[in-house]
Amino acid sequence: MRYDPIKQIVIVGGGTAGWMTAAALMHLLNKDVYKITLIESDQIGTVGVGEATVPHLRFFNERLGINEKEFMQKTNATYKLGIEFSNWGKLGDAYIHPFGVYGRSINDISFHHYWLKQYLSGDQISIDEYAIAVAAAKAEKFSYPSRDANSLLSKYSYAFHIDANKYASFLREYSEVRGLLRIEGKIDGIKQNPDSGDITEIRLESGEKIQGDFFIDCSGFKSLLLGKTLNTSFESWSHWLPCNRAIAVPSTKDREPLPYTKAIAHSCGWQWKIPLRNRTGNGIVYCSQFAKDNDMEAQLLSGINGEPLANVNYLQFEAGRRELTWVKNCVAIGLSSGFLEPLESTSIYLIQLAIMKLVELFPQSLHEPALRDEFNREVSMEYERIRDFLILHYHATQRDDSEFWHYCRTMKVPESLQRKIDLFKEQGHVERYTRGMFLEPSWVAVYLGQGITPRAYHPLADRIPAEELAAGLRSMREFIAQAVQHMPSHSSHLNNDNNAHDWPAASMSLYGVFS
Amino acid sequence: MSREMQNENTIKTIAIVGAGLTGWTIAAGLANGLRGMNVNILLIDDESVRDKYHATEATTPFAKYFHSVLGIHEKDFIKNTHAGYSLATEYCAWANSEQACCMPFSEHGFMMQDIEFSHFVMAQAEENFLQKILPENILSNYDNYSLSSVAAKLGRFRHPSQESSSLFSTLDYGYQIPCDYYAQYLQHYSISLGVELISAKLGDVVLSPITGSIESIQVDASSTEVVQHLKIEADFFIDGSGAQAWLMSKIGSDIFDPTPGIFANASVSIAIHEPTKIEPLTRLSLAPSGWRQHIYTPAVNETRYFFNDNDISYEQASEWLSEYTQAKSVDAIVLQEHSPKQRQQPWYKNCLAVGQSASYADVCVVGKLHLVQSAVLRFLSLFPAQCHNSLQQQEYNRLTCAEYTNIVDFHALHYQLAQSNESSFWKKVRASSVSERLAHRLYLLQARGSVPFYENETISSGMWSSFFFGNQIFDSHDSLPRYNPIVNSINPQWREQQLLKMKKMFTEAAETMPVYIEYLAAL
Repeated sequence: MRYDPIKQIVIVGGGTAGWMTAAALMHLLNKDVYKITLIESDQIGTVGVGEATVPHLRFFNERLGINEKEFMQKTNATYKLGIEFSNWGKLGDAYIHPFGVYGRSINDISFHHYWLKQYLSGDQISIDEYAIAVAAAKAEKFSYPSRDANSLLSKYSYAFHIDANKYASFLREYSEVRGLLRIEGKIDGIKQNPDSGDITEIRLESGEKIQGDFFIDCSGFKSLLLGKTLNTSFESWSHWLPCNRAIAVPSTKDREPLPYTKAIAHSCGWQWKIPLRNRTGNGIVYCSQFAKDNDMEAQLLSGINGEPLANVNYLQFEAGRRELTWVKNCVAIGLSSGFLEPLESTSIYLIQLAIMKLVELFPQSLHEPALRDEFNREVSMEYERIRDFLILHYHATQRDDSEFWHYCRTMKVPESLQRKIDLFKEQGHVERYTRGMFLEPSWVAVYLGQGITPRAYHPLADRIPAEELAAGLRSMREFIAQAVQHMPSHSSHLNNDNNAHDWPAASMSLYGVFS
Repeated sequence: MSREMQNENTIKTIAIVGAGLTGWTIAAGLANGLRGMNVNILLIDDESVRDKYHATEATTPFAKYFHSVLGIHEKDFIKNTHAGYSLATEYCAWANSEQACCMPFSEHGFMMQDIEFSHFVMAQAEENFLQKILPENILSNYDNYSLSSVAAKLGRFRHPSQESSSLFSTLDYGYQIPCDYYAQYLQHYSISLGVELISAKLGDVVLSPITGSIESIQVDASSTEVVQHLKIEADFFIDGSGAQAWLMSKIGSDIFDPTPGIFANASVSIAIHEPTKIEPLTRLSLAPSGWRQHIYTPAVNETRYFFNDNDISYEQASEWLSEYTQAKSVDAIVLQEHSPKQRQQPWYKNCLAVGQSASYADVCVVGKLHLVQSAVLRFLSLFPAQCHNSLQQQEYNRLTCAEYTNIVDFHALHYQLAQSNESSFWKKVRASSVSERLAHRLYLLQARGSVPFYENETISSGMWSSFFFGNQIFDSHDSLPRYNPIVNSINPQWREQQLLKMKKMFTEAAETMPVYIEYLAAL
């Protein structure tokens, strides 16, 4: 052999990150060549807060050959068409950030410019009326996007609200059936090669030693390998995303589940409501500097309509990420690599992204710095773009009813975000990039939803004569309203026992089933 | 609210300087993009201020998109400009002295189980190496895993199929265009859309004493016997004057070197009219102290020689080229080209530099016409609602800069991989350094055969890896295997069969395609 091949892969930690990684590797890697082990302890709970997902998860499941309906049954899933943000731009406001686009671009000019032209001339119709996903969500309807790429009805996608612990169990079963070795135990020590610094062995409290060539750190906030062992520094973003506490509690179902997540801003953070088939996930996120834990717990419990199903679960965190996520022979996936609050359901997405990148760049041997550098470069690009998008939610506000909002509204945001905001304000241009989770429609949703209205629209929108534009917009609105009227209700779609494989193909996009 | 009501300060008149191919491409793009907007477009033609081109231009498939935006029908374009098609770029002994290889515009092979195709070929190469099988049968000619390449080599052509299940849907193409005919064609197009041509001798440029923006250009118009002094006023100006950057130099905007490294900085070319050789590809090959490019349009064949004038003189270069082409009666064109250089702010004050006035380049494969076409569309996508709109401007400059650095990286990769001769030029190239970004690209290509993702890339990742693998595949077995180990979960026999089958399919399909010259004649 001309090199030292990787043969033994050790995943440290179960939970969503650990089991998603295990399932993907078990599916893709040749079991005659690789031995994959996962170490977890039943005594250590998982965070499992990220119960709202994004459409990309469908792509992950599809690649693993998972039946969508079976997955939904096993995880008590409901459909999700977007997130409703209330009280963000100002008290009393609400908008939905949909998994879909607005209207249709004309002459290569994005739709929102045409909408903006009407709006600036006094037409008060909300841009929501041009997004099918928003209209369907509000009407509590659901149906699969159209398979006809030319149809306006194909311009949205969907995700799920799931029980993340059940998803982890589902993937555990998937992995174990395929021969994954799961070792129960708590970690006592980690051994490194004194010369290279590579991790070589994990020692358990039982005395058992597990050797490996390549390690994947899914140990959550503890970041046992990447943080504690390899001393990779943590870059804090708490000055931009000051929330650092969350309290979570499930409650009984009080109504038919909504096909969207709720994110309701309060005086120093926000609250979530995630509807599952059998219960509702609730949580409150806040900044400890501005609020007392007890008050927040009381506020959380008072906002629940059903009965609490468990004791409240307190979480502490800090927004930020490890400066590198692949160091030596160790890759961190999930919370061990960084944390961004679940405002836009990015946690599971970031896990999935890291797994896909790792698979794409999976090394042949221990020392392939080019692959490591590329992995780190792509992961940080993704993290930073999501970070900017999250900061926008806090910064684009007129709220001045608390010290917290005053801070967020006036804080200095990253230059990369300020540039985007300024550009949009000037004439509605959204900085264009192709890689990343949130593209133009999402930026438009949050800008407009939180009160950033451009001073002007793209001048070339004037190429369409005014009457023609007004008529076109009217017929688009009518088409959407009518299409939504014909959709089945979300609950009836959920309760449909039809087990046929009738769901559309998945794609790595927030906005449709075609990539 | 109409545009006029949005703001009084909108662009109502645009003046373009330079009536070469650059100027007419800009005029055509704007005339179409600003239809119905009541914007006057003027083009000032001073014969001494035109962007200079060689006799021909080779494009990427982007030119098709540009035409579709302009509503130009391909048949009409091909007939009127005597342009031809190009399926690939062929490298003759570029990085591999053994064989020529084609780089198509479309992807090689097919992805299997979500894994990039090249990994399968590399896995097979590794397998054959371990079993000491000579790389002949299955591995030689990476380009045989592409229908475009096989067809190009056989001199066949047809349009891609719209049916995604058809093998012919994998074809993609650019054009080979005689520049003079094309400039005339775009002139006709522009004028029919209302562009006003002013033939005049350029004089002084009047700048605003406060902002430094251009207020007007004084010209001597000579439309009749009488010379007329005119003052051309406009809200916005575009410099299409080529490397001399006639307008930009008046308002002062800096130029910088975006990349380290030694490049050819000059070229000579010989064009042969009524050619005997018409092929659906362009060719690149190494030459003493530089490299050669061959373009084969149905009306003109052109051979260009790019060299560095620090190493050989124009006279030597011309002599060498005419000897090489054995051309008897030819028009030799000498052009001062430049190694990659870029204007810091191609959009500066109320003036936009497009073409050679924005960046000096005759970058292999992409071609300088591409930069003009993409600049026009980018400008339209960021068209300012007001004359002075610094944020749209900054965004335009940021994107332009990113586009150019990516293209220059690809250009520099050609130099890096050249299996060059011992001339002092190539020795200097070998000793020169590369940009950090290209170093990373090269690093990842070598380690994994993968192409890192960068925003605003003109060259597709398929072309990056095609160039890399096509030119220097399977040569170094002292390094790690360059493929994703995930491939190992696929049965090796099945893999080998798939590879063989693909090659066979592409060859058979190419043989059913029309002969290129006959196809052109039948259009």
